Amino acid sequence: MDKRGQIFSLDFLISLIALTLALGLLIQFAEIKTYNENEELQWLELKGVAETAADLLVSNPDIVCELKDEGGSPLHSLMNCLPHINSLRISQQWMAISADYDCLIETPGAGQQLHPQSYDCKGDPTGSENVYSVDRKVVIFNGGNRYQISKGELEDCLKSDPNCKMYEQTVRLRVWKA
Amino acid sequence: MESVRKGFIFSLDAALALIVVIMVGGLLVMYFQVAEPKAGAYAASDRIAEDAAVVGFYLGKDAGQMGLSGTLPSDEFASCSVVYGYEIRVNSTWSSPIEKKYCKGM
Amino acid sequence: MRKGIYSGVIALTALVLAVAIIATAGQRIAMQGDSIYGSSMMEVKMHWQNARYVLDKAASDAIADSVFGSGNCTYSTGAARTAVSTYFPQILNEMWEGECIVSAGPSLSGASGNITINATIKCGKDFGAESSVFYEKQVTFKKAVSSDSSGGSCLIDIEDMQSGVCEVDEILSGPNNLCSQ
Repeated sequence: MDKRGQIFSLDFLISLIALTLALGLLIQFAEIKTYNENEELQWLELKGVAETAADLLVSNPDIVCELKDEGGSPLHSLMNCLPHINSLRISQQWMAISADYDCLIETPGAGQQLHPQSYDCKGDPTGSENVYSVDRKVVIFNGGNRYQISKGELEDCLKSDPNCKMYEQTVRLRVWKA
Repeated sequence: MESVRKGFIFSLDAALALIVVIMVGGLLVMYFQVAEPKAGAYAASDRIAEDAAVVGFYLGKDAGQMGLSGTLPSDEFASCSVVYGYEIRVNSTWSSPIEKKYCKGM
Repeated sequence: MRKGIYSGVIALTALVLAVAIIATAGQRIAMQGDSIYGSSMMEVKMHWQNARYVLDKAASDAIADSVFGSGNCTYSTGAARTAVSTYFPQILNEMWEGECIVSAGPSLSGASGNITINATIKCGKDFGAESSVFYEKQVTFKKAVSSDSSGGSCLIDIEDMQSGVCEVDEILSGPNNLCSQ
């Protein structure tokens, strides 16, 4: 007699509600998870491209200043040194930014700016959903139209001589999917 | 009396277990969401410290002048970059390189 | 027996939910993977650059010390070569716990007015048995040295020929004055 009516009891209804809620949550989890994973993968890829590009911006010997001796012979490239010349060799290619990305280099704040005409990477990120921004601290070498800085000129800066031709500057690189 | 005990409401244990699982699950999700940004912060501090060290070296500026700390903070995680100078002293032996630290906290 | 069925359903639901939440949360952190190689390469290159600067100065120190310690305040290629060969590895060993080494040389040649030092500096890190990041490049330093013991003490001038900078300036006048204005 007690066994009759067990199927449509209150227990059954409540557990059914709980089960339906749980299933619904699970399905939602799965959907959100897939969407998030996708978004996250794209973001990580963008981050990888931007951070590699920023590393190359401050270290690629084809971009940065070159140290030379008094005779003009090259010694080695100078990390984190960008020349202020109108043929600055910053390009997407040298920063390993592929054609499906676009970029913009800015020099926020006061201080020595990069030559305005000099570089590739002058896109417009307005309207792009995901824009990855990296700030790097560099010195701008203001040596006329040279990307080569002499060892003597570098020594001036190392001892904070007023004749120093290098100036501190933050360079902002912004990268987004084209 | 037996009919009152049997099958009136499912056990309190099970309901409590469900609540506990949901709470713990929620805490786990929150924990991982906080842990993730930390990984990125470590890498960013590395680069800030390194850039400051190189630029500081070029311009003869110490950590303080570059907006960083010259010593490793003891109470938080930090990233330090070390550069060396050298002072020439005419005597009978080499000088120890002069260490300069540029530390960025997180 | 049946009174346990609905509790069992609730418990099973709870278990499935728990597994789903943990799996989802755990996977997020697994996708983070920052590249450690990239920033290590930058750091290694920076260390190489700094090491070159320090050894440049150390070369002048070694030459000056070799003249100072010669007994007659004169330069000799052999003594300078010995000093440089001793100083370079010792100094590098004190930087970044020995991350950089002299992998070739140093060699030293030339008379006092035209000394050339060559070496190869190698900096790097091991990440385990099968992966590492290294940067290795040859360096050349050029120095000129003069000495004067006419006043009773051994005075030395050293000029860095690559920059024109006077790195040791003890002789202030006379024919042996290398760099004072």
